[in-house]
Amino acid sequence: MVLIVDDEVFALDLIKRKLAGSGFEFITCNTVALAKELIKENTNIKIVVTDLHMAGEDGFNLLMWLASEYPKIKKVVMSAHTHEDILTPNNEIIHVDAQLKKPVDIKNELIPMLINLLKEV
Amino acid sequence: MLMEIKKFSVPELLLRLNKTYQSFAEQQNMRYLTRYNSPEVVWLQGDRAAIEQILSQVIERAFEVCDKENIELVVEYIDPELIVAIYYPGIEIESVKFKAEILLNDSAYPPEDLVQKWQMRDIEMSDLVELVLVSIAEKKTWMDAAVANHDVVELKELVHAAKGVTGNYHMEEFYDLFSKLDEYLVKNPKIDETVQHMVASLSEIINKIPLKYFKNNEV
Repeated sequence: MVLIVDDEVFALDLIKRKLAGSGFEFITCNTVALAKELIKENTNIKIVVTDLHMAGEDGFNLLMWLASEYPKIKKVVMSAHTHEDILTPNNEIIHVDAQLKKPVDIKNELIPMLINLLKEV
Repeated sequence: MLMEIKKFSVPELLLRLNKTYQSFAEQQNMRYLTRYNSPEVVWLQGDRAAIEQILSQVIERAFEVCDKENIELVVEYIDPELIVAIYYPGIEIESVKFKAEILLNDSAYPPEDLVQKWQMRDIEMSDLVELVLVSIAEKKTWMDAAVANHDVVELKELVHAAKGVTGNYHMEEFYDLFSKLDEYLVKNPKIDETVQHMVASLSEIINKIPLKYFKNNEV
């Protein structure tokens, strides 16, 4: 299962529409707090796709938590800018499995990337 | 009876069907969706009215047999045919084929307005484009307030969010402006004349959009 996290409702609507019928099992949420609850409750979440800049707890926080608590879950970042290294506000480097530059082409970028990552899981 | 041979745009036809059947589906507590796996502009040769009637009948037959969940119209171009199939839910119920040719030239079928132009970029999201538009107009009023209050932090957040969503929905005119403003604010994090001018110029885009798109939504 794939978890998609973005605080922008219309971004989630777009992703849900485009992923529907793709064969992926996925869930979405719009806060990091809810994402953490879903990850704790669903042991079959294998990939987390997250926006970086969100109000409240942001994507950096989620990525650091995943690296610490659930290192086997694949991490994908959606961001307006791609980075050679993902640096937290404290300049710690976070390893991610893939980065997608916004606006993301769901059919031609996200879906093929998810297919590749699921093969590794 | 001789069929009148004319060329017409498939995305425009699908947009019209979307508008009709999305609201019909909502009344039935269902959803009507379109999946369009084709080049941006596909032209059909044929009687547009007759073809629209054929597709409407296919869709309406689906509504007669399906009473819950989603009905999905899937449109795919496999040279030289356009294949239209109706799915519920996830199972193909019926399909029809039309002879079609590709014509990749936007100017050959100018959209009626900016909103239709954005909708035709991605037929599958056409209903959401209108909702996004209303949210952008709302954000514009908050941006005006942020400018008036010299609240650059608030303005940056609004602009960044608007840039993201307009990029996702192919609303290029908005996306270009928000991108420039976003970039400018990163380098110059203050409310100066350039920022004021750029925020004000959003109104020029909004004013090009017919009022009907805002009519049913309070802004």
